[in-house]
Amino acid sequence: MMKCFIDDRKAVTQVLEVVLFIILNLIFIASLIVFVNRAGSSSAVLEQAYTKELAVAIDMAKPGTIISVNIEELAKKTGNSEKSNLINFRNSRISVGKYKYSVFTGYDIEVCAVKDSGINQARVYVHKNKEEKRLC
Amino acid sequence: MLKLNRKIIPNKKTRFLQNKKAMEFIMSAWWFFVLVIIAVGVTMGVLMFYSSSVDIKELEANALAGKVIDCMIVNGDLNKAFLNNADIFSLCSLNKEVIEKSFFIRVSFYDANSLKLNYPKEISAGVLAFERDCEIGEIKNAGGYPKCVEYSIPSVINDKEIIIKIIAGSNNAGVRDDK
Repeated sequence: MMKCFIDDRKAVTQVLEVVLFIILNLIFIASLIVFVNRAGSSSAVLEQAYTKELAVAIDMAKPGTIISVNIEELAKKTGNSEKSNLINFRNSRISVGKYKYSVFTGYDIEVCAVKDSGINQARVYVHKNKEEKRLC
Repeated sequence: MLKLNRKIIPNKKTRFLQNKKAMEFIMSAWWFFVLVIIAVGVTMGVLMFYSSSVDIKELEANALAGKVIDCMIVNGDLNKAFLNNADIFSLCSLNKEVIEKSFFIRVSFYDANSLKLNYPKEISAGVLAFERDCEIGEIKNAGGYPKCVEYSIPSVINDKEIIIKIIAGSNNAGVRDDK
């Protein structure tokens, strides 16, 4: 009877060790997945891509050009409810979220948020100079 | 059936391995080491991937060269204002402040036959050191250096065939404002 009890305790301890080992491994894998997922869902890469694409488009644009950008995905990722503040142009710099990039064009740039057929968009207007009529 | 009944004579090494506690300690230490290696590998990979920036310097240099070519050649003819000391910034609608900080442009006129500098005047703007930096960057194939593009366009000045050589470079970089 006594021997059986001792054997049982040994078995329980061994099972507990294995369970603990598995739990710790699962915690480790879960934390890695959470870290990778968080890094992947960060808006930083998207902001940079949008900013640079816009910068090149603006640099190549001629007066009268209108650039429309769908900002639905961007707004969702950045969690920015104020869609009008997502894309800005100030001091020769185009900014998307927190990322800023200089453009060399000497034309005047106007950016505004519009809703076209239910889709949130940012419109970039290229004006020849500051005297030209604003379109926002 | 023949039964092998070999007795292992314990030496220093096997004696240690026969010790269950010591074996468990080795295994847990080894496992911990493996976990650390995996964690460091994954973290470094993710950080490297997401911190790398998209390089559009060459695209920008191309855009700048294209813009200068557009304002220099009007309807197939060379814009005479270019040869009359006109300001390249106002003529080509370029932002002087930005160009002088992160860009470079040089326009040279060569004789089409002798390939010598034909017109005494060379038009250049921006950071002139970029021309050399571009060459170094190409040799070293390293980041942080500006990227340049070069175009040659045949044209005519005063019934003389010339070649216009345009070199444009960019070392523009974005800024992340985390405030």
